[in-house]
Amino acid sequence: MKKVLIYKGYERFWHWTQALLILLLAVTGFEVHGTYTLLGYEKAVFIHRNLAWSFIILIIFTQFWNMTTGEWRQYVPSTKLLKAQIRYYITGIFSNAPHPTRKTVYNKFNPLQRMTYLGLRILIIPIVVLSGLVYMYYVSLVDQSVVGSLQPVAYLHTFGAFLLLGFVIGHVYLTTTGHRPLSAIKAMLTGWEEMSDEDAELALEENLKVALITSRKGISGRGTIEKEGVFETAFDDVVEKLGINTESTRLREKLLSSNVGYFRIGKDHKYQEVNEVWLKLYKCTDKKSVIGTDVTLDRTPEGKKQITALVDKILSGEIITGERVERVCKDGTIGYHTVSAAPIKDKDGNIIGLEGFIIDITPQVEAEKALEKKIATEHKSNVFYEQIVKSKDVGYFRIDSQGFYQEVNDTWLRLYKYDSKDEIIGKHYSLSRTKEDFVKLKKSFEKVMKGETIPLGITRRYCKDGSIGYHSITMTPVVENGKIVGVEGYIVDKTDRKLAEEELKKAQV
Amino acid sequence: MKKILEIIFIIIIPWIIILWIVFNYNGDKDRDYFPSKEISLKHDSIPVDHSKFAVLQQKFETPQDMTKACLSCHNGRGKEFMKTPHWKWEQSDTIPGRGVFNLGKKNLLNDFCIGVNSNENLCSMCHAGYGYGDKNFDFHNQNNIDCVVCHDNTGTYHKSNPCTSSNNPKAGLPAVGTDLNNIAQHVGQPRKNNCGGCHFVGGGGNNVKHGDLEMGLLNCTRDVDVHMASKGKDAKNMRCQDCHKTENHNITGHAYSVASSANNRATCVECHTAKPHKSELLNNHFKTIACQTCHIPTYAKMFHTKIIWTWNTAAKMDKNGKPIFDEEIPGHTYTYDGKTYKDVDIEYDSRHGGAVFKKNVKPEYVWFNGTADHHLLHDKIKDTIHPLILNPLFGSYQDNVNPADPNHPSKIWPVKIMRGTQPYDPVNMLLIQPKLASHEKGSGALWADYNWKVACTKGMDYIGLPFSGQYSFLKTESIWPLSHEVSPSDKALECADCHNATDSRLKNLTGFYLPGRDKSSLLDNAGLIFLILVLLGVSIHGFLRVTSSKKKH
Repeated sequence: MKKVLIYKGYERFWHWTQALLILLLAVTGFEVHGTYTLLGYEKAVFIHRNLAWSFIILIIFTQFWNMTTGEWRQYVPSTKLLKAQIRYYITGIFSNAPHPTRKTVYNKFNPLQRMTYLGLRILIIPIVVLSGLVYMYYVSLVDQSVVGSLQPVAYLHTFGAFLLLGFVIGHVYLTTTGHRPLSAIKAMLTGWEEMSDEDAELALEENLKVALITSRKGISGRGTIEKEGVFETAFDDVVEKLGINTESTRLREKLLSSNVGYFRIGKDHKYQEVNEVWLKLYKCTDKKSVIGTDVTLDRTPEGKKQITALVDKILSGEIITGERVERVCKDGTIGYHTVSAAPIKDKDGNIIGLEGFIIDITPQVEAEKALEKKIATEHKSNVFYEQIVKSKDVGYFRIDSQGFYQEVNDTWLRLYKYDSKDEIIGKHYSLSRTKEDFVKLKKSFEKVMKGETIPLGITRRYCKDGSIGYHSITMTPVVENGKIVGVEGYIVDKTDRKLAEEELKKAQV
Repeated sequence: MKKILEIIFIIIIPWIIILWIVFNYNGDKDRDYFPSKEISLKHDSIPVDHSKFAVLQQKFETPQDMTKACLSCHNGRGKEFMKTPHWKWEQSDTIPGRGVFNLGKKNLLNDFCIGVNSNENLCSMCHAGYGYGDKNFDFHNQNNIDCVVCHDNTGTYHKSNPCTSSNNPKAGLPAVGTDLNNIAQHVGQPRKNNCGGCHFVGGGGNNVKHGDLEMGLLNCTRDVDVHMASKGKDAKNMRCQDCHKTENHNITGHAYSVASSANNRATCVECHTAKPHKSELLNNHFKTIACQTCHIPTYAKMFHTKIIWTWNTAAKMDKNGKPIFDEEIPGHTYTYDGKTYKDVDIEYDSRHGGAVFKKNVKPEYVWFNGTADHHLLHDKIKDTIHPLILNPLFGSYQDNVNPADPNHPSKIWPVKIMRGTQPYDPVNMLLIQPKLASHEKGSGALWADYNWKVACTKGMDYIGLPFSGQYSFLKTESIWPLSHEVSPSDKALECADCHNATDSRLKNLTGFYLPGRDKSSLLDNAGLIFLILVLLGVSIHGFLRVTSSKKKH
């Protein structure tokens, strides 16, 4: 049995607060309804009203949280596996069949839950809240002739209350259908859900996948990860697991065998453990030569300060995500990577070191820097061209004023899957796009021909073999004797990232 | 450890904070909707010492001489007073939907002593005049005005009661031996006992009629009446005219036993405004509920009031053929018209018939918009099975929600409902005005001769309406909106007195949804069945899970 993080702090706060409010609303509400006498009518009314306002405020906060964190996606209904889920509750559950769906931090609800919660959100709760507000302000509303009789308002409110209570009963019962009867309730309390080993492994893998996709996505930014709801929180969660929980051993193993560089640093700023990927990135061959050395050893002078500050920050208990740092490799070259790290604690909660992982971003950074420099200076030195043409990561192309390719480099050819320059030089640029995408490129081309420099962001390319790739593109005009005679541009491949994002989207739905 | 801390921070602490707020904060009462302006009372001082006036030193032979002396200085006041219902015993009033009538004690019947006509010699004990002994009284002679019945400040002025002795003066003249000079020299604004001398004893005794107006109010604590309290803590000792504002002898305030329209009323809001509570929720209640409804939880707090009067049992003699006077009937439970009244006092008197009294009565509640109808003398009786309501109050829930006349939106009012039987003519289908009051045998008055037929004939002849010679008794009711004996705020009704499913004070008022009282049994039963089905469903599901998993292992 393993435990997997499912619920975030706010969700747990929200859920239990809502549970308390709904139960007390029912208790006081049915007293106001005249079903029994408990607190006394007057007290029941004013407490019911306070509860109602608390409930409304909580709903507003939670909707805001759902919107800003992207958690609303969890409530998007899906009919996929819906029947399977229903079938599971009707028959499968009695024969110990496996759950047809798995709970992860990114996909907490099964399709039946999604449907139910959606119904709750768009039907039952609005019925109860709106009829309750009309009830509360009935006297003013009746003055404005907005409502006539109080009776239908009260009936609707009562009707909603019965539905909500029915939901509560079913909801509480279904919590017992987890790995163990109390697993789901414990999860809602602590955030961590008990699962079977198999489920836990799969859930962890999914969490990891999302985290990696996220970190890759961050690479295109300027050092820190773009804050984009679910991605950012996903990343935090994985990092949290890295540092804080013993349950994460499996994740660490995964990282150690992945293409992500892993490291562990002691309280004394000295390396304790690195993995193969890390060594490769630092161009070291021997693990022993690294273990025990200071973390500042392989940095540029400015980098030393930066890394020391970072390490101190983590040792003081903070978690960093996607921080961009420089490294000096064994052979003296400079590389770039993003680092995410968190402190390691012993049983008593004392920080004894830190660990994290790095993802290499050197080619992207170099390409970006070169482009930045070039665009900033508007000076096209031979050195720059040589650099670009030789670059393994940046594709270069030049098109004449009529739209025919004049020059491309090897990287460009590789990205477009051409075998030699002859296949493309002299051809029209429309070859590089699908029919749908061509119009966009044509517009951009015309703009650049008027003298603009355009960073286009990520665009789709149409390769020789008919496949689709993604790259970021920048285009600038080619000027000769004061006249614009063509367009040249630079592309950096982003296919991995784009595919990863789409895969994630699929997973979300 | 960390997990427990987390649970405390994420779940327990928010729960405690929310519970604390929810159970303690009352935004409605904590916010201030209350106009902090103190209600102030202005009393005019009277700097004049009447004992110094020469005109009041003369020996008054007749009360009319005294009135002449008053009017010699207060000129014009006589003409002014002679326009008022205290003098005319009628006023021009509009009955909505029927028209304008001159109505008053003079020509309306009630279910106490039934009517004034042919009984003036006794009834005019409470007429602010001298000599109103029959219908030929001259209502235009200002010397017949009784100024001092209202303005006597000595407390010694009393009118003669012709029924206690045949030697007593009749028709509203002062009692024998009254020192008119002393009284005339000590006049001033009316005091409670001046008004109360008539209004507290209407119907023939202390608190018989209104129920919320009794002699005890002259000397009571706040618990009985917050306004009139004259002893105990915080006694405001207000005078009648502090609320019943008076100008040129026109006294505001309506008794709907005789009044019909909503003008010239004395209302709570004149002093208290329409938003007197700190709580907006309570202020909102004023839309449908009169102040009196909550603030007069009971009436007849000090002395019992008559609630049932059965004239049909009158004129019965004891074994010896002698009339019975004021006999207390043992027992404190009385059943009338299918309803049982508890904790009542029952009396019998051959002159009046049976009477039922009750102290600390819970009011009944009706919708009332400030206007009323009346059963007029010549109105035909249409229904002899159900009680005839002598003064039906207008008003309904619909009239309030969608006021056709915004000046008359209905509110729920507390009322005393007086029930009883009284004579009517089953042939002509008219209520009967009998001749009741006289000491003289052979006068034909019921209280002298104990003969209904003669009393009815005499009375109907007097008012000039036909009488077939047959009489029977009809159940009647009269409705008396309550406004006095206002309790302190802490004694006012609680929410649950009305918002109550089992014993709501408003259980007889239907046609609108009252939270806490009303519910749809269909919806509630359906909801309950739904919840039971859900519970049953999950129980069966759970049971099957347990048994099937046992099989596996």
